[in-house]
Amino acid sequence: MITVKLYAYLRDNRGKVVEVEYREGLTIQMIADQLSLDLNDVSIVICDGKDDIPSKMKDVLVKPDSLVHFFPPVAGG
Amino acid sequence: MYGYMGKILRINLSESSIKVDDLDFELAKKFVGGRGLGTKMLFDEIDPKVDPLSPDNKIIFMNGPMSGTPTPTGGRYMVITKSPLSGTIASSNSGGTWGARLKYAGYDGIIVEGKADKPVYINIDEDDVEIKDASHVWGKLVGETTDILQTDKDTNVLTIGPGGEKLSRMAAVMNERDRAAGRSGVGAVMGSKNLKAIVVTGRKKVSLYDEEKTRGNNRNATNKLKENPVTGQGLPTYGTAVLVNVINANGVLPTHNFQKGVFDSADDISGETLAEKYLIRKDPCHRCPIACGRYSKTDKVEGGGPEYETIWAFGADCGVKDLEAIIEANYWCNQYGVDTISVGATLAAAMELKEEGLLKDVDFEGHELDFGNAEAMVYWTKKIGSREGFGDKMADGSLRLCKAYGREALSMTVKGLELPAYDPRGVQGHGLTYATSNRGGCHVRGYMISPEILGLPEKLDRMELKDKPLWVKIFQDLTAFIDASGLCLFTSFALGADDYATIYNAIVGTNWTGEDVLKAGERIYNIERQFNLAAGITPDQDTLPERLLKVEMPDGPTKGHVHYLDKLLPEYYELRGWDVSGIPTKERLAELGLA
Ligand code: SF4
Repeated sequence: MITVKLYAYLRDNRGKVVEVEYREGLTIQMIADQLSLDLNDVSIVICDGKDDIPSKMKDVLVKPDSLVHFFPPVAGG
Repeated sequence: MYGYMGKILRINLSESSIKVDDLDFELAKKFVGGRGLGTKMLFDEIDPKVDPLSPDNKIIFMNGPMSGTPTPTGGRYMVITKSPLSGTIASSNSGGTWGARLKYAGYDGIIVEGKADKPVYINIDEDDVEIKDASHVWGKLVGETTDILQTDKDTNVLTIGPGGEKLSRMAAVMNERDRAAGRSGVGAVMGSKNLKAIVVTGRKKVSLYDEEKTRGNNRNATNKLKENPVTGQGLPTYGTAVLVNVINANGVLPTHNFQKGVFDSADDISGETLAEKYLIRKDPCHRCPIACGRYSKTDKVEGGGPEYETIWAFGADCGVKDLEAIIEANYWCNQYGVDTISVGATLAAAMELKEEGLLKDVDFEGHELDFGNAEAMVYWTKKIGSREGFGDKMADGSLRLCKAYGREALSMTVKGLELPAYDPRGVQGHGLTYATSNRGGCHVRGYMISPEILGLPEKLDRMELKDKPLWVKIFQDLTAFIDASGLCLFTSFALGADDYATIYNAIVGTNWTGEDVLKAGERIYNIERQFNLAAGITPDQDTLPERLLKVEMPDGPTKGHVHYLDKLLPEYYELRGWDVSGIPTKERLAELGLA
């Protein structure tokens, strides 16, 4: 199972943590689609410790036990 | 003279004298205002080697040209003095309304000199300025002091709490109850002068060079801030605390005094949980469309905050997952007038000292300072504020505490200032800003988290070293200008150097470009450096705690890394036009008009 964690308003109607069944060839983009998540609303994706913007992460292939985080545009200081 | 009021109040508390100086407009243009102009004045007027808590130190409250104008976020001011915590230049920024109010009273800034022989406060009602007896508010908490001194709807109160009165080197200057010029112990300098508060009433207007252009610029800036997803949605909805999860997921949320980079209970103390359970309303600063400020309530307390840094300091750094307790600790820091970052980090250092068995002689009064003990964390926060029991020993910050127990290495400080909420082992550029910040361990002198974690204005690899020194220099210089201008640093998530130049020109009547903005910032950065060098702060202090340079991160996505400062610092010095030992060259100083 792949664990997907969502933050801030991406949690609306989706919850904090969603489990997604693994299949071969599964990408970040496909996971987002499955969650009805528009990657334009996402600013940072972290997959198994690797962080980058969605356009650089969308084709990353996940592993059967991957941990994926989706963050909307957030900041602070 | 546009953007500036043209007057500086000079108050000597030893002599009980009040004077009004004319602002040197040429100097103002060169150093902009706030952090820049205040530092230049302080450097010209005191010996940088002075004891920060002696009457010979001065404390300057300085506005920028944009404070008090209709520019979005134009209400910020800075407190400039020599820091009693670090011995470096101290310039602490605060929002709220007090800074703008000082302009409405007709002044760009106030220079306070000497020491009163008994507690006093300064009352300013435009041209009517008095030094008044403060014995009725001395010893009182910030909230009560504010209630007593607040006399009119056009009045704003800046005050210290018992922390500043008792000379805690972590003491803050507070305004509007819970806005803080928090860092570097500036509140203790007020306390050392027996100065409890500065109460300002004013209804004047700041004159602008081109009102119509300014209106247009403000519309543009407001639109950019509203349209930007961070300043238009992320910050307004969740405040700064929304960072807890993203910083933790990257493995750079310092936990247990920087022993680890992942806090398992991060979501319990996140901005999302704060919004869901404790948030009452937003609490914006003067003229701010972003409104990142929070107002929270628990069964025990209610008040402004908590901010991300505060949540981290009392939360992950102390191993505490109880957000109610964190809100309470934040409340007491605001009431006693002490810096939440330094207090939380000092408690975390004490917890590690105890973990190592070094605090066996301490009477914990039944409130054991162990990682994760939320009740003790709140208890000792109050005791730091009141300087009682072991709190007295902690009240001067983690470096002095750890030195007293022979374990200086457990103090997570740079130049004596407690590091904030990002472990530099996983954000290499940000670590360089910590090491080279002129006030020590500080995150708002060049917020490299923005590109390295958040992808703003573009995403950089947080572990990459290449080009980071240049990014750091540009961020530091731009930040110095923003701090000098009177605007909030958070505008820089949506605005760039050219935007600031356009806004500045219409207000002041200059013809600056984005490059001039960065040049002014560089000038400010260098004069701060000159102050520090003259104060005896040597470049070998451009470093990080040993743990961050030598001990590999034990867990999470940053596992196995240290901070690679030695690979970054030489290039940084070169880009700054400093020699290999970190001293500004004559040529660069001449270029900046500082020789
Ligand atoms: S963005 Fe936040 S800190 Fe900055 S001026 Fe607005 S409310 Fe204050």
